[in-house]
Amino acid sequence: MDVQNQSGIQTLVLPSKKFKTVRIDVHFLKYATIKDLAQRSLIANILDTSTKKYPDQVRFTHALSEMFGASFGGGAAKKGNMHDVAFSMVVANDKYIKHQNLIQDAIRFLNEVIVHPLADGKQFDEETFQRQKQNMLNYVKSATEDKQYWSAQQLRKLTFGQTVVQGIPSYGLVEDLENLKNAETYRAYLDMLKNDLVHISVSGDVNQEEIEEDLKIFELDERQFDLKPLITHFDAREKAIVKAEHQDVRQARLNLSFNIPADMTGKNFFTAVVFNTLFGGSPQSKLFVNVREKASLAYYASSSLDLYDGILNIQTGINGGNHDAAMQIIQQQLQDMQNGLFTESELANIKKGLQSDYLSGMDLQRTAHRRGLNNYLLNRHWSTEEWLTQINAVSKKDIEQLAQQIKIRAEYFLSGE
Amino acid sequence: MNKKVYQAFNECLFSTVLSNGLKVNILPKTGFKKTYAVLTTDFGSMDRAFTLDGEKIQIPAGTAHFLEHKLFEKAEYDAFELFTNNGADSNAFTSYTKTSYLFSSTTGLQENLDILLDFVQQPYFSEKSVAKEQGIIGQEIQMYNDDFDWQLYMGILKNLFPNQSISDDIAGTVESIAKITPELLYKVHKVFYRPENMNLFVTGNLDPDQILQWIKDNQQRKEFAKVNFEIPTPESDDDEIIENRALLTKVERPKVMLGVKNAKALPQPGIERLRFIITLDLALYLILSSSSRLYLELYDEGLLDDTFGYDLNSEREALFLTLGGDTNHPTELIQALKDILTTGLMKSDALLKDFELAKKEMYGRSITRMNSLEAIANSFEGENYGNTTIFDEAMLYQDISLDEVINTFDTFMKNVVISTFKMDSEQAKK
Repeated sequence: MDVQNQSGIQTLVLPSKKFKTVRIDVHFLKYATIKDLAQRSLIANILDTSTKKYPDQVRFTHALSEMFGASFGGGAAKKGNMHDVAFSMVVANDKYIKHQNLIQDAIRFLNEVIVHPLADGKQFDEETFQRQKQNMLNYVKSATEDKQYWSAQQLRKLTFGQTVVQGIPSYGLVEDLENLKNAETYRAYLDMLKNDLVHISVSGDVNQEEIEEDLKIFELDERQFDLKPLITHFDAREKAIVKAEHQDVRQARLNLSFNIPADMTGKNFFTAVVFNTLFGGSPQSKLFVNVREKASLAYYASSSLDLYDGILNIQTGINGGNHDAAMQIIQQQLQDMQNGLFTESELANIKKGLQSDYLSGMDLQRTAHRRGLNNYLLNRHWSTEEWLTQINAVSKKDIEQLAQQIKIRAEYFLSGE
Repeated sequence: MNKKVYQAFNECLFSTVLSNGLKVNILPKTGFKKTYAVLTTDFGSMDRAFTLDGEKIQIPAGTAHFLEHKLFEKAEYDAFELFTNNGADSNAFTSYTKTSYLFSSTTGLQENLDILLDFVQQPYFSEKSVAKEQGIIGQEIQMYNDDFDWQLYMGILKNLFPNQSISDDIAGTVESIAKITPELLYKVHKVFYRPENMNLFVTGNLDPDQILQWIKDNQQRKEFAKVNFEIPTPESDDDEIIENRALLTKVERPKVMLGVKNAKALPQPGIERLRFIITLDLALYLILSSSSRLYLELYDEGLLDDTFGYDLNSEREALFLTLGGDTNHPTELIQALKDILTTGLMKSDALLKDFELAKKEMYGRSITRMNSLEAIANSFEGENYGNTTIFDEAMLYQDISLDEVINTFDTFMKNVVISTFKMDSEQAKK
């Protein structure tokens, strides 16, 4: 159940007897600028390795072991135009251990991580700051070794440009990261702690009232936060931006992006979800079957949706010489969708799969938390029943019409030297 | 059906062996929306020879994985598609010693069970589809070749097992899979996909008696001819090992990996084997995990970072440990890790404290895994671990002593050679 006991701090409790663990998520959310990205990502990295009480990694992880191998994770990500610094913990239910207050222990630990970092009131512990900064730089460097990831980043640049957060990876710009100073990063942390929108969710075999009481352990103050739409509209382009590059790779990557007139909350949401699953979002999809299976052109070919920004992405791994053939097959698949060259029974099967996925998600605590957060941020209130019904209601005509409005936006091609 | 009750966890495992030899295990999970089923054959990339009707046949590298891909595709239908049409997700995976086929669904359970059993047990391979698959898997192999961490792992395996099929890529090579023919696949299927070589594990939202009846009905509709075959006993591990090897390539930072193998230390199949492995895993956790004091020392010295990891692997009669990651100081890291491994565990109050903590940790992690249908079914190792489940594993953790951990680690490290594989950037040497 959603409650707001303190202004700007939203709480969601999801009781369920089927889980043997209790999960607690805490999110700090802000409408981010490009500069915020590197800073807040580094903050997440600093907070999740040490605290005043657990100043080194051994003490930190030992505290988790004491809680019967509680798992803890922190991280930073983008959610539409928001930047999300998140922390989560999963602990065994007290039933299975000779220990009474594991939930409270977990909340105390999260509070320690979030509110009492290893810092002196002016800046973070210098050694921790430098090490985490270096680790992040190393991570970014290594990420570029993954060509699939690299190609996705390049397409992102072409799709959104470099002046909006959508065009930048969630860890920010490398040059911003390199230039980060300790004291200013600490000030950004204090700002996050004081002013961000906070979303806390708890799931497991728990009692709503007891959890609300336990959550008072968090030393977080009330704040003012105006929740605005998370969705950004990007106008379609007259002509796609195209870029080709050569590197020492054995497998070429052809990635494309398109404008699709749909978003997370609008009328077209369910149509877009069904369209994508049929087009390239599942092993039965047109792209998968025709590019990978029939033409034997590619190891992978798939599409995905970014409905915060109204974008459809296609990613493929192919032989360098097959660029034109792959492009031609992809265009053909899109045309087929526009012309309704798919059967009612294919459509019915795709819907069945989506409904099954939705129900299966209810068996995972993290999915339940993610849906709860999204629904709150997007002000969506779809019950399970509504969700299943809306998927069912998408017609062949709806899909054709949506497909006809899809416009290519960018192309990135990486091939061998 | 045998019924094994895990009272502490409020769970129950039902198991039986059908008249045709197929082993069936069923574990209901109340409140879940989903059901997960996995059908596994005791056949993987390490199996490279057999005899059928007196004819000795060699299996090219990558055949198990190739067959896994091909089995979905039939003359009249595609199993992926059939599952999708029935609202199920399906997949398959191949390891050194096993090939598994699975589905999960929230509706149409009986139909999905039939699809699974039928497509795996009724092979169809054609010249055309084999040729096409050679193209697809060729791409897959290329993709792995671009992955440096994969190269690092394959590098240390080659060091540890220079003469054995375990160091061949599970997917094979472009050359080896080119040798695969429909005839070979039929023969392999006939021998390794016999019901008595397979087990089916079903867990989730289900009624055990109903499930068993459905499975029996399906099996009774099929005839399984008697097969005249021989499978060689697992190739015994030799002592041969490559101690040091380095590769200059385009990595951004140097990578190192160390490896240790010791098949002789492994107990006979059964629960004792599982106990040995989780005890050894506890030892490794105490000296190598990010919770260990030794790890922190190396972390603080800047010798290793979050890319560091270790992996204990037991495949039939093979047992080996790999450890390593990215580092700016490869020589120093190699030396430090060798010191840790050769020193072993020294009994002390501090270690005892760490050990009690580690036990709590492992027990709690087991509890977490009990939420996952996939974890419950996929971790089932059959007779190799005495038909135990993660519920047995959780209870074993509560029973292990520090002395046992120390002895187990000593047993594992006795008379072994520590092998190293290093990848360095080309520029660094210029």
